[in-house]
Amino acid sequence: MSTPIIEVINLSFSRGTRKIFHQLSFRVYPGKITAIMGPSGTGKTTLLKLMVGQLKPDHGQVLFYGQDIQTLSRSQLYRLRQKMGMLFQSGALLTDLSVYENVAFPLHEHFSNLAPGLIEKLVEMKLEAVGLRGAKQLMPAELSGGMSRRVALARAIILDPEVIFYDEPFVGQDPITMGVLIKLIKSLNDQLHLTSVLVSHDVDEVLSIADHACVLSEGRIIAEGSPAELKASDSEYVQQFLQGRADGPVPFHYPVEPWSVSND
Amino acid sequence: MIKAIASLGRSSLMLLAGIGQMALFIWQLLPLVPGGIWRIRLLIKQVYMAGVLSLPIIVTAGLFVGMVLGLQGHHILKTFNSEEAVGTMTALSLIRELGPVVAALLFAGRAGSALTAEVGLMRSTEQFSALEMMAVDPMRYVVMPRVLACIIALPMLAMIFIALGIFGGYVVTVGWLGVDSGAFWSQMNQNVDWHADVINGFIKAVVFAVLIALVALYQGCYAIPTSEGVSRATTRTVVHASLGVLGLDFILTSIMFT
Repeated sequence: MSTPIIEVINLSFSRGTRKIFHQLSFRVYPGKITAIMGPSGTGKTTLLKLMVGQLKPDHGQVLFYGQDIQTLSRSQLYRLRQKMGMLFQSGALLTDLSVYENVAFPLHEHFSNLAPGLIEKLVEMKLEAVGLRGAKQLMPAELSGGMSRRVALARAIILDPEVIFYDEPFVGQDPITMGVLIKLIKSLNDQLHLTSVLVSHDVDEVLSIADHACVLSEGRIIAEGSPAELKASDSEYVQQFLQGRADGPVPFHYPVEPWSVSND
Repeated sequence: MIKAIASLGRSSLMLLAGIGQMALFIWQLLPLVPGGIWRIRLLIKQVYMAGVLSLPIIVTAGLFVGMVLGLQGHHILKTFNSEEAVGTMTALSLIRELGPVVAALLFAGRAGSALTAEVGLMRSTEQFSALEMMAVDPMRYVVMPRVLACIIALPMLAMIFIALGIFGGYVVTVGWLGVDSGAFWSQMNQNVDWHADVINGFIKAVVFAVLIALVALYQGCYAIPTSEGVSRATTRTVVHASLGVLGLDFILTSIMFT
């Protein structure tokens, strides 16, 4: 197997007294779609933030091309981030800018010497790729949730990143939008030779496009492998999660004293 | 008793932590000042948002404050047979105190609260994280232009407030109460000093602008990213900035006019 592009090594992270991750390790390989799955509240978004250096771990390392992201200065980290794209759960478009201005924003900030005509062509190419070239004059408030995410995706790929992170891209989407997003993630990864890290709890959608998937539980990875390997896993927890069973290792009831009925 | 002491200790620690956080916030902003001045398009947009959109409230308030000052001044000065001094009294009250202070209080309520809500919502909708992921420093792109815009806008608003206040006083005293127009202007001209009054009033407005901008943006940047958190931060901006303006006004007045 090729050299990993990202390595998470023995990562531990706590919020107050609550341990979110304990000695977590996994690798992301170039050109692959790596999925990180787990129920709500397992810290998937927190893990993404740790991987891109927005949060600092208590212990452990995140290596990006072999470089520990925590040891980088602010300017080095910002240079590295020009090689990364991120699709946020909410889209996170700048609400005072139009669709066109949002997608052009990273170009204006980092390549202000580019000719306006060239910027326009680049933006239109990326908007065409997500099917929204016709919506470039709209404001974020005029977009549906799915359209916002597609615009955010166009913005995330405008600097031609090498790695793209997706934070719960399918949450709250209708089946058609979900289908569009799945197709886009897969086709962008293959055609632009990207590496994708996808955080989600939408099992079927994720496993249909992932090359490698990790299942998170109680701060560590309890299973990883190809989608076929995960489906064949004999872990009860993995099976409960993949099949969406209401009860199992993750109990239906929040911890409580046993129910008792008395005549007093 | 022990609970009360513990609570006092907790509050003191929180206050110290807040002061430290504010100091770090200012420390982060200082190196960005030179670069911020040259981002002209961003600056113009923010001056429009903070300054131009505050004009209606400043114009209306300035006019009415001046009219009331004229009425009250005339009423008091008449008992000493010196109604002609009403122009001086209106102008000095406005230039030295009411112009900078009332304009700052109105600015804190209109523009300060809007800044906190806007920045707080930008954080809660992950726009700050998105900027960081695009390798754009939110302090440079979001915070600095807004601070500079406040520093440009408030002194201008205070001057407009003063001019309209004097006009309001003139209309009431000369137009309605029959004070001599020549006496109104000539006494004002003789008794208002450019440096001691006008420049000091201007300095006050600049200081208040820095205070309001820092309070509003600090509250926005550190608001808890929920609707309740942003709402509380907005309230804190108006309360802290208004009290800060009044406190600073006393300190500045005691330095400038004693």
